[in-house]
Amino acid sequence: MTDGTFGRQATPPPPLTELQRLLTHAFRQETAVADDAAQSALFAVHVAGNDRLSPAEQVDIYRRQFWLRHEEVLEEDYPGLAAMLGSGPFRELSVAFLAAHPPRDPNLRDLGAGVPAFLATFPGIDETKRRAALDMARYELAFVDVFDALDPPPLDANKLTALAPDAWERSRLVLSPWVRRMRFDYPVHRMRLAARDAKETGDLVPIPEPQPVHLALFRKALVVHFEELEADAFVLLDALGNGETLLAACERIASGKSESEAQILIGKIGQWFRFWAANGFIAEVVVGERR
Amino acid sequence: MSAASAQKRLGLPDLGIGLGMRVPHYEHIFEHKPKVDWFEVISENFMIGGGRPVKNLERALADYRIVQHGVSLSIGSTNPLDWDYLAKLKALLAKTGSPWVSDHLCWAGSDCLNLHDLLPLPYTEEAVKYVAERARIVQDYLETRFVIENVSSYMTYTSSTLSEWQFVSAIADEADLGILLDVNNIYVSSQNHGFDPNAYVDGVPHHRVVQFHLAGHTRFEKYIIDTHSGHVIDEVWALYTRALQRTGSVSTLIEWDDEIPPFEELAAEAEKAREIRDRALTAAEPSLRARP
Repeated sequence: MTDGTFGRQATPPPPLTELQRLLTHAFRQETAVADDAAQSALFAVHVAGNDRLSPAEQVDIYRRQFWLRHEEVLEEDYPGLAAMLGSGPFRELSVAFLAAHPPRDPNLRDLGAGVPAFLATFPGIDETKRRAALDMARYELAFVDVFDALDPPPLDANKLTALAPDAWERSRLVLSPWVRRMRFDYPVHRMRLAARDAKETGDLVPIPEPQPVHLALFRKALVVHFEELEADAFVLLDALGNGETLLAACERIASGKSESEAQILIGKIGQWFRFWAANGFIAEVVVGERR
Repeated sequence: MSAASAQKRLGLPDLGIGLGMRVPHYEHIFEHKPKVDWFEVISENFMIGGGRPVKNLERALADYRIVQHGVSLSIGSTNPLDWDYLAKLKALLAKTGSPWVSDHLCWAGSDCLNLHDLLPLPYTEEAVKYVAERARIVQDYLETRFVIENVSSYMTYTSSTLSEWQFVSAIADEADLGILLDVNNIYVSSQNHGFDPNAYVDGVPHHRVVQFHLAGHTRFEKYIIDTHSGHVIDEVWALYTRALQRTGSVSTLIEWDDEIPPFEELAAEAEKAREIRDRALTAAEPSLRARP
């Protein structure tokens, strides 16, 4: 029964298609249908109204809900961005974004997925804030992704202990689906924490001077955490995440370093790996063929 | 599924009085494991990869019967059926073992948009045919009884030729569906559009009613909105009693989604539903009293 059903569709009657198209368009308008004589006349043909509400006023109940619902979701997903921009500019951004990217997915989870790309060219933003705002939007979108990313099967400890020492050099590490490594021009992790405090007071979160930061975003005990990484740790983790072998990734960060610097680096790599392993960053180890 | 259609509740079980599982109550539920007959979950919240929502669902499944209720299927939309969504929904059903799966008799957008609202349909014969065909496809694919819920509405159409209850009934009959009768929604729409809510309760095919929803609402100057806020009002309890006397024992759920109270207050509302239900069934015909 299932095989024959999958992909089947019913053909909608044309009047229903036309009615839904008209209403979908009206619900997405920012201005009230009741304030527009042509729209009011149009909906008087299709919508019944009653002794308390005109047809246009009935349509407007749903129109208002459209904006309230979706603006609220964007504010929940981007609290740091809202606190940086302020409620007025954030609302302008939300309205422009929803107009340009109306919701398509049945799940509201992905409503704001396009905000960072939209922000890059949105003309309504204060130019002095754009770079920091872009960083914050990328960071907050990663929070959404990490929060409910797939759980990998547990790493088989026996498999790891059975690995021959020379096999490690040829190994590639598969990172957990909920690990993100990200580079920013602003300390967005601290700004987002400040945004949480600012929510109580309604104050704007100030934008500090640019300061490059490398972050790992990950999930521990079902909660999203961040960890600030040294630049070399970021390069190493990023290389591993991109599928480089352990040896190649380590050589990448050791390149150009003096012998004493390399010795310090070896100690640090041990620390980094202990942290990554303890926090479940590594989902799988794949041993490559011997050359 | 037609062999079961003449049976009370289409042969589906009466699970008793359930509660909508909501985030502010998770800690209380998992720590204290309160006695609740069953919980309803919003399907879309768990149609994701992993993390806390999935873990919470697994914890709930360990201790409670879970029934899935959706908000985004958009069965009445002129958009094509979303097969990616349906595949995820079916995968979730395999996990929860939900005895039926419900969603709203509404549309949510056209031109491939989803406005995440429960928009009313025009009550016409052609809409009946179209929606019933889609619902049949969905039910066949999911291999689980599909149950449609009547929505609250704030708008009606000049093209409607049927009453809302005739519309709901015709689709349920034509596609062999269950009905989730939201008694609060009947009350809200009856106030907004000026029809007799008793006629609605009397007019649906009672053997198809497999679940009730009860909730509060918010009254504005010119209309009422179904906010799922506050206690169930007396008029809605009276409608619930009337419905029970026609359907017999049917799984009942309390929804509370806005200004969510402490769990104890929600549980007290469920106990009130249980008392009213017991009284209604005692007064009903003997054939309607017995639970399976």
